[in-house]
Amino acid sequence: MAYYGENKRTIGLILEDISVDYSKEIIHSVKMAVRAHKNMKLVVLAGIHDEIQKKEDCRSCYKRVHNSVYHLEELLHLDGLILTLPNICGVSGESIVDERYSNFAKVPKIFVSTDVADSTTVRYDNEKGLKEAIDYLVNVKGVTKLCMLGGRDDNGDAQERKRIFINCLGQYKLPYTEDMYEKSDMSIEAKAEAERLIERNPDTQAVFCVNDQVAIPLYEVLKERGLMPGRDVYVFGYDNTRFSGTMIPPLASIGADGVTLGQKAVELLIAKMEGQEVESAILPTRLYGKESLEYEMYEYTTQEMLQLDTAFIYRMFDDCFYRYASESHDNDEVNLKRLFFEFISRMLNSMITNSMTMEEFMELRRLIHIFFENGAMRFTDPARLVRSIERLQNAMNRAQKSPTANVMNNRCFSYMKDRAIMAMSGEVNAGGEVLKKGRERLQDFFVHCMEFPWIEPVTEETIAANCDKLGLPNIALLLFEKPIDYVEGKQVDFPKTIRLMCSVRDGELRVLAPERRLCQVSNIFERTELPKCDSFAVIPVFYGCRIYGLLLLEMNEESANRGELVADQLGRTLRINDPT
Amino acid sequence: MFTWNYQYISKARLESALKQLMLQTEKGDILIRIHTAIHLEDEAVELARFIKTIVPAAKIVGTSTSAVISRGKLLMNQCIISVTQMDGGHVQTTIIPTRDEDTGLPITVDNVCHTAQSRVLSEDTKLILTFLAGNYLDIQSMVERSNECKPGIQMIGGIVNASEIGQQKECKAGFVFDEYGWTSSGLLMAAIGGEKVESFSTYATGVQAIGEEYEITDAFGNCILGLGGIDASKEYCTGIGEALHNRPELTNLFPLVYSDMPDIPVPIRYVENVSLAEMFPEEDPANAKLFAGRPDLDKNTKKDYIVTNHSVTAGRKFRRAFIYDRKIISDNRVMFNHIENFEKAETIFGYAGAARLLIYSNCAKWELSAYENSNICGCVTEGEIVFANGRNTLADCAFAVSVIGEKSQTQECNPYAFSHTDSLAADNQALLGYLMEIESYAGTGSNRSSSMRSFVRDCELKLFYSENDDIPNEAAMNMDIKLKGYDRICLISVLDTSSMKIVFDEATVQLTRRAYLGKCADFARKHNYRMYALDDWNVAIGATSFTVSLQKMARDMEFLQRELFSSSESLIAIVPTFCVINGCTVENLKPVYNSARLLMMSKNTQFYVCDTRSFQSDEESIRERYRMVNLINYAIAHDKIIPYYQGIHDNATGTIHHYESLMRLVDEEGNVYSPYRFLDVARMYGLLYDSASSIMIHKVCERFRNAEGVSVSINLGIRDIKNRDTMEYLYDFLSEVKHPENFVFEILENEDVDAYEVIDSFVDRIHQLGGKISIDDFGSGYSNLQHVVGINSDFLKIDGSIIRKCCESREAEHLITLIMGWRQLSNQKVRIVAEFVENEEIQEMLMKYGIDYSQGYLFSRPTPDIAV
Repeated sequence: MAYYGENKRTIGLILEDISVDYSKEIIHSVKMAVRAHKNMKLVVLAGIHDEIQKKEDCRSCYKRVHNSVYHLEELLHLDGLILTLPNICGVSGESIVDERYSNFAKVPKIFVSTDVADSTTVRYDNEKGLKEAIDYLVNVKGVTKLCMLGGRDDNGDAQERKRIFINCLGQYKLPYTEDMYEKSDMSIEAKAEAERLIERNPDTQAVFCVNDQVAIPLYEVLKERGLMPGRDVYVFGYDNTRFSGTMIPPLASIGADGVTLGQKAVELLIAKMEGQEVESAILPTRLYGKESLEYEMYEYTTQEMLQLDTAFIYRMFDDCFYRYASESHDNDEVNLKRLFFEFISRMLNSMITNSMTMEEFMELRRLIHIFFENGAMRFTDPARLVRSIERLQNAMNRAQKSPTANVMNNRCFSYMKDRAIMAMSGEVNAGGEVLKKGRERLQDFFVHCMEFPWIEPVTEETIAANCDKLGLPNIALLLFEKPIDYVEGKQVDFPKTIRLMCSVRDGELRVLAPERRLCQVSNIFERTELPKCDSFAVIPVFYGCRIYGLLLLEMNEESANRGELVADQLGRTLRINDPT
Repeated sequence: MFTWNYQYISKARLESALKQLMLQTEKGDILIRIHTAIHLEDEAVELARFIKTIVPAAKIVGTSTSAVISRGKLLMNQCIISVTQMDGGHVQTTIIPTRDEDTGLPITVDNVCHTAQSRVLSEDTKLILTFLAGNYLDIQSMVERSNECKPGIQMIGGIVNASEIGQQKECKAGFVFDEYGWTSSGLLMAAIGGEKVESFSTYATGVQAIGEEYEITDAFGNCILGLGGIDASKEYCTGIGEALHNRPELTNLFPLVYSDMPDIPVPIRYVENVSLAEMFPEEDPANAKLFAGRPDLDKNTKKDYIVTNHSVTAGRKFRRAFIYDRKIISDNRVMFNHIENFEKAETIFGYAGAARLLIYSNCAKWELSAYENSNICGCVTEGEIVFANGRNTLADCAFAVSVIGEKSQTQECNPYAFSHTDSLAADNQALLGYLMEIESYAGTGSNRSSSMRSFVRDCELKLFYSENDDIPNEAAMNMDIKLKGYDRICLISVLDTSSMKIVFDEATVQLTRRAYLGKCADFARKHNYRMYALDDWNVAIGATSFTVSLQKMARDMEFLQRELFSSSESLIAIVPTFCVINGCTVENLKPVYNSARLLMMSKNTQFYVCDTRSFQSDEESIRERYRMVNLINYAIAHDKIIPYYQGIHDNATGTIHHYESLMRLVDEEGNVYSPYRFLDVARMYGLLYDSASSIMIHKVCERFRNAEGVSVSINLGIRDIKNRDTMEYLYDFLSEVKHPENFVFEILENEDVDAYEVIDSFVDRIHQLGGKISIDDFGSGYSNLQHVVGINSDFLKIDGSIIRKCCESREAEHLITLIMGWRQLSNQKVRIVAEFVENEEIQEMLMKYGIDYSQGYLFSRPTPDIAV
């Protein structure tokens, strides 16, 4: 009489490229949404964006071998799937899904930003945010000429955005010609396209970029011509990705108003997995104003600021830290919103009591310090923050009666500004440092896996024993019993069993004894030896056409950036030492 | 001296009681006190007269009251009669009017004192019971004057009331009486004296004075007009806050005290929007006289006033004060010590303030409970006359006790009552609640005067810090959690401190404790945490979720724990357990901590981090649980527990060897539920499981009672085997039935390991009766192999999880080999059954290993209908 309860459920997230910001954004929000549910695990199957037209260059071949990882889905016993494959829509949507991802159909699934007939999709309301931006530009800034740096023809969203853009111009009776539009591949390599667009329209007052990525080459082009985004030409992008805030000047962008794609997708998927009927969702969007297009998300008056209204302080926070509201937050972490409220309300309170003690001032400084230490700058850009708090500062300076309190408040404000800028530069430096460290470690790995005739030959064992040198703290290496070969045009037939060679948990390596390694591919996430995390990325380990196994990584920013490279290096090392 | 206390029930009962006493007038005077909460004025006098007829020599005094005190209890709606027989001592009683009948004016203090002196006082008077009925503004001066007239004579008593507690607007309803009559404006006195008589009077208030002094600069009658030169009502209000307007009862929490007697509260009432003319109607000649003395006053403007119950005079100094539990406790302990050590404790008089019952009702009960077995007798009064530092004075909200006697005697008291102080903490909530309210205003930045700020700060210093260590206490923690967002709390406790005391001396224990607290406090200060001392060895460390991440907090706490472990040699080694709780509220902290403690204990960990959310079941699962409870109840009541049967396939013959019976429940709509849906719930509600299981067993047994050539297996849990009714039924059944060998009992082995003995005897018994035994789910959980092998079972069922995987996993296959090999080696007759046989592949594997029986979907699904 044995009864089995429900096991941990595993959700798969299939997307095209984990290292681009748009994907990172989705992974992050899906990951946080999954974490909010008990007994749920996320597995990210990361492919690489691949054009439909098959090309025969190295890059395309590499992509095709890499994308064989999609087929793992059928082996993994996933309970639900979230797919975000924007390029498969538009052209001939359904047939592509059938052909390439036939097995995806078996489990409940949600498509993100992907129009597929007869399936549940989640996507942005392209119209609302874009309209808000154009309304503002035309009515407030008096702009009469706008251009658009568009996207690929096979991308549904890009096409829709173009259509809406033209419509909006039409509503204001502004001229539109095809000269004012230039399509691009939606990546940062679109410099030539940006160049052409500006060449044709040197007098443009504003440029709408189909996504945040293409704004990077556009910025370059503008700067080369001595034009400053935000001052000479208004620029705004789409998706409101994290890096849009780190651009100089920060890029205004249209993004989710409240719920993000990932959150909604998880919500719908869970409902679907529980057997409920769900409907496709279209998420509202809005314009997030930044320096390249200054835009107040909320109107607030000086009077309001000084009244110490709770709602007002929270609104101000949302405005300053515009990325905060759309992300879900772990309740283990420091609640930045509440912290912001704490010190701002105490500073404002000093205006009412007309006094501030030295102790209070020190405490405020401590709180501000904690605020920035805990990554407040992840949710905004320095320019935005400085501008917002300057308004408050000016208002307080005018209204403050006690000179002492005023001095202290001003010191708090300047401390905030310092921290804002320091945090940003610190991040840049730290980024370089991480890169350097990672490089050093990877080199260490290579050295240890080199073969010399007078010492023991390098085998899988050697590689497994050096996995901690790859520089990623939580990974697991799984190898097939025999490497399998990718044959062009044929679906890869993955074996049902795989060997868990080693795992690295919080930097600590554990090589498994040979007899304990073998397990079913379907059960790999039940292995207790894996790193303790609730989301994994699965990246194939291959070299050329030969697929050796899989690399499991804890899904985070770093593995998104470096995971593929590490997997490639593993594949290369295995290939060099492959006796067959 | 001897005192008897009677509750008045009827005249007849009283008569017989009094007669039994055999009171002896020649030995000494007899004092009879009556405190009644049930008699009207004339009835009371009638009662006094009645007593007089039985005990003609008695000196009778009586008062009305709202509740009487007898044997350490407060009793509503009763009348208590206390009879004191003196041993040579004497008693003088009198009632002195306080108002001139003709003029309507109050009689002067001099006159009253003079009368009292002449009527009741004698050279050796020791204690005067004094009760005032009605409004007599000069009561304070009267009591003060008595100190001058006859220094050293103690007084006890107060202003009598009659109304229900709570309706104490005016105390004019109270009256005093003796056998000659009653009055509602008079002073009742009973002076007890005698050569050998000694008495001791004391009191407890629990009042703590704080802050600076205010001089009364202007007063009118019992109305304080000016404090320190400013309007008294405004000044009083600024200390306590505007909330006073809506909640006049706050005056009881924050009384004023005369600065020369800082622990005696002066009753204060805050009256709003009245004119002096309304408060002091001029029809009353006394008031007219008052107004005549103060022509400068504006009689008619309506404003707020603070009034007390006696005339106040300009020039005296007040301080602010408040009442709180710790002071009440310490006051009472001191008082109790005095009383317990008083040699001639023959009789105890006790009088408690009505205001005390109103705001600190638990406290009033608590402090009385220490005198539970004594002959304490008294009543509730409005204001008390207490004897403080050698002087009598008028107090409010006090508990006054006098102990008196002529020869050595002890009263049995109950000092242990003092250790139950929990109820007092509840009383304190009102005060704490109010202070929190004030604190929460501070957060919103409302403008608060500095005087109020400092007053509140002073209150908090007393209320929110532990008694000896100057560390914030639990109340402070609760306030921080509630108001300041402290929602990450680490609770630190040291286990087994009582055993420490057996081995080590108190000094070492205390030293260790101080070192422990000191380390925690240092750590907290250094790392910007808040530390709270909950009780002796329990400490909490708090942080706000907006300043410290959970990870950092856990790391810091681990560091602190290591620091605490590494104690020096001179100290006792302690094991502090740490439990970091995330997302606390005042409500969930305790329950979550308790569950966490259980978990820590079972896992034997000393450090644990948990989230309150993970301890609270989500709504969905609670709903599901109750749905299942309802379902089970429904099934039991409506005969919807249905046995299903699944065939067990004999691999040698290819036929069904026997059936396993499986429980199914059917709901109102006919949906069938299998046990994995409801079994956990049924086990949780143990009796539900018992009933359902018992019905199931009966049904299966009866169905197969007369069956020939077909056997059935029945699942039994340890709970069933321990269930006497079920076992008796089974034993009886097997001994009656024709083919007991047709019945197989499947025992679930992984439930409860300490029941081996019970299982063994059950197995033996079944075998004796001819039944058969099967071990269910073999290989799941951590069953004790040695024991399982020891059970002389007929069948062994390999756990489904092993069978399911046997084609995929070599380990599972090895286990099957192991089991079959074991059978061969040990030459056991036991037959092996495999369940969850789902496909041919598995069946082939099983055949290869020579498994005797297979059960699973490959062969048949469970069904209610089988041909038997």
